[in-house]
Amino acid sequence: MEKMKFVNVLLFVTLCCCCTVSYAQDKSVFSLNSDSEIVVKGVGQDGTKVLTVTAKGKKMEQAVEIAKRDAVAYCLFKGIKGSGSTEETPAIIKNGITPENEEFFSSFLMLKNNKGRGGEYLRFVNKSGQPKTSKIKKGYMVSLDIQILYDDLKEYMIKEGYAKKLDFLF
Amino acid sequence: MKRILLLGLLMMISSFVMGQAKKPILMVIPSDSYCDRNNYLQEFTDETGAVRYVSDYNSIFKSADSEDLRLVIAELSKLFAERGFPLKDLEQTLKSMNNASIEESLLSSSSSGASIKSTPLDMVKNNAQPDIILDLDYMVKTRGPQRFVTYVLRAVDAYSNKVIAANSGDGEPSASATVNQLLEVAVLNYIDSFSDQLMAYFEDMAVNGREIVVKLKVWDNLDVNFETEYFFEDEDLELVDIIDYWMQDNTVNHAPVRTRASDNFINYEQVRIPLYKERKGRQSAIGAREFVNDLRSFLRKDPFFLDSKIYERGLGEVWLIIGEK
Repeated sequence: MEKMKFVNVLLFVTLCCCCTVSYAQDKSVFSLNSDSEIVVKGVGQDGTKVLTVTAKGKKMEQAVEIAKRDAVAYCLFKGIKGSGSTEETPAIIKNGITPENEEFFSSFLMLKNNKGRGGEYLRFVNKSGQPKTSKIKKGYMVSLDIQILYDDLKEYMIKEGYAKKLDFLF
Repeated sequence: MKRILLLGLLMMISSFVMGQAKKPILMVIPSDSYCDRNNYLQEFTDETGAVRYVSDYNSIFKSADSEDLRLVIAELSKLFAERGFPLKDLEQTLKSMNNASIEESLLSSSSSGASIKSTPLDMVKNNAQPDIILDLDYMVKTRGPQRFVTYVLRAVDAYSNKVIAANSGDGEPSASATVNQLLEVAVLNYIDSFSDQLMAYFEDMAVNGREIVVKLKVWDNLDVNFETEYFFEDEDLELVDIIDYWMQDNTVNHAPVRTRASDNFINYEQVRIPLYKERKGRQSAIGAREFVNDLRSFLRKDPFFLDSKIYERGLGEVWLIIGEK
């Protein structure tokens, strides 16, 4: 009987560990199923775009980091919806995440951790505004304005061979 | 090290074998409605005596009110140049055409005093001729104390008249921003979506070939027309059908559309031609002229023995006039 109890506890602990790891993995690696909501707020003369991002996270700091990461990721893969008088921004990479680019983008879009280390995406986040925070069932939801170095991001993807220049054919 | 050398070698071979396609010329041209609204029109009387108006681009750039337009064109030129497409400038093209025609009229040979040979057709052909027209229109409107810009930009294929890309909309109203600032924001707001549509057009071109228009005509002194029959591939066929087969065999989509035809002319649209052709062991870029040159060679052979003249209207439209050069 004691042995059964021990096995059950062990199973429960293992299950909890698995769930925690999988939750952490889901948040640290960008997924195309991300539920962040992003719209273009404005465009800058210097090739930048100001995006309004709403993202969720377990902690407030994590939600802010997810917002920054998803702002870059949406520019790359999903495109950004327009708002009012701003035009939508098309995705830079048309074929999404594929086996050929998965490794590069897993690293590029790796969420900033507690030690301040994150993927290269951080280079393209210029500045962000003060987040508006609200508590939700599983953590926090933040909404903030983030300025992305859009032209630099596109140029970098062209250099790395993941996007094409407009004159690629000529 | 070996892998790097091999990669380098492969890149050299691929750049040698695959050339670059012919780059279309893009030019921003103010729309007819812009010219009409701002009274940049030229009046002329046609053969029937009716008074007609055409857009007068020369007068636009001489006007002091064209500052806004210059700014929009400059901004678009900058953004397209960054994307690898330096735009041909309308104002400069008009100036250089005027200067060149003055110089040409004053030029004479030092030994015999001969002038440069030029026909009225040469003068027409020597026009500002973009392959893709960036048709621009904008209006500054007011709403109470605020101003805002309505902006329309379309990319039109100069030969097929198809709209390749289009953006339009109202900018954010502002009480403090200048008209120049409002226009600048409008251009920046739409440029990514616009170039994305252009990219889709070029990607389609890379896969399905360049779309051109081919027109066939006959000289009026020829005793052959497109209904003349020839014995070709074991059957009696009219010349129009033989040309149809040739077009199907030599196009990328094998389905050019014969839009209109009579015994004296044939018009083909949606003719998808390859971007490259093998020449001296390498792929060289081709346009409408090079494509139709092969048809000309075909018609010179047995059983047709027809000579013809190629009249090139640009990268995407060509006429083949059958009978003689």
